[in-house]
Amino acid sequence: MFGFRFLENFNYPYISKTITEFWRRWHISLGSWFRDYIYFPLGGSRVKSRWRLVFNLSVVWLATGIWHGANWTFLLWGVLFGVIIIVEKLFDLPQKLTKYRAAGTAYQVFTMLAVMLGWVLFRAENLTAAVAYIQSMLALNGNPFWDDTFLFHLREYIVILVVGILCSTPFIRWGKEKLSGLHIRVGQACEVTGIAVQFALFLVGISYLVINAHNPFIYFNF
Amino acid sequence: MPEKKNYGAVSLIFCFLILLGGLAIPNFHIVLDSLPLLSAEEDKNGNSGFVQYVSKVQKDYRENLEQKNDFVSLNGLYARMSGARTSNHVVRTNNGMLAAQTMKKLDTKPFTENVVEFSEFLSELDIPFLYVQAPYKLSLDETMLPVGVENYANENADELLNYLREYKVDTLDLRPYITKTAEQSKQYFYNTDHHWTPIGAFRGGS
Repeated sequence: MFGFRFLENFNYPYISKTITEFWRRWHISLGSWFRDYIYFPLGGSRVKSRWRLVFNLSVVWLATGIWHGANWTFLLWGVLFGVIIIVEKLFDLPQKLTKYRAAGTAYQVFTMLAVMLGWVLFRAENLTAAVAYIQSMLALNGNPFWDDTFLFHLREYIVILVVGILCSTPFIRWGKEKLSGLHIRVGQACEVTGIAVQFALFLVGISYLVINAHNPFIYFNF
Repeated sequence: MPEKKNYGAVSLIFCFLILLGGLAIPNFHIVLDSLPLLSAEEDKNGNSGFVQYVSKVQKDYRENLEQKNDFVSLNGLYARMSGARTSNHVVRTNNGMLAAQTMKKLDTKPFTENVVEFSEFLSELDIPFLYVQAPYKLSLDETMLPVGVENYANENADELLNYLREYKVDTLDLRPYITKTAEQSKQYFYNTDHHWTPIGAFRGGS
């Protein structure tokens, strides 16, 4: 941008197949900092003892949790991811799972579930609220797994959901590359269209901020 | 071979930057008007002057943006295009009207107690009292809301009326005469707010 080159900070994290991979794709600058200034000075993974490896990873993930804020939710969030990553490293899961498609797919689903539940913990006011929220998500709070209200809101936000899922994958980049390969003008048209769409979405985002200043008499266009 | 520059993309970006400037510049006074807050003392919530300044600028930007109505229209356009039925606690009903959502089941007992107390006070003065339940625009036949949207306006009113009748307060419920069906609601209420039409007011009065 204007001649400045910035390193990519998020590399499609939601296509990750393991938690280890997720944290190589999510907030890359933060992960790199913890890796370079805490993990490597402690010895990293090139240590003789497995317990030393567990210790090193524990320190990093405790620090990562605390870095986000002084709340038990952040600490527990860091600990949970630390535990999963320790298990993946000790049992060499990323390497083993690539050999078996079904197991790899199942673990990828587990990875996404762990990430989503982790975000609930991350954003909750406190642990009680986080547990109640997760219980509700899993229909363990006296509520059904889905009902008419859920289906209604799913329909309300289906466009945002679908666009969000598409943009979380390299699908659009793949599409642009395929179209650009047809003709240089097509590639340029794709780039111009992409910019226009992004700006339109930016303005729609601002519109949501504006309408939250409640004024019940200005909905005639709705 | 050097990559061919996409002049179309560069031009578009500059156009958008100019548009952003067009949005920001007329509203820049909002940033300046609240500057004295930066040197303010901590408020009762312990917020520093800087925090108060940022909060005030955010609030003022949202409420006093020059292009506010344009953004509301844009949001409405997006809602129509995406098929959304709700926005900011307002729902578009099945017959094309707008209704504010009453999303909570209220405990109407405290309201009942106030009305009963007032009724007893008037009774001591030999002044007759009649509680009239004005209708809300959502019809009693529950056909106006899309499936999955809950609204407790009529339920809250039912509970209130039941309590009042227990305490022998005279009541008149206008809802069966004005909002029994969705067709009645359409006729007796304005589409975009909660007011009765003149025909609705005449019906209620008669």
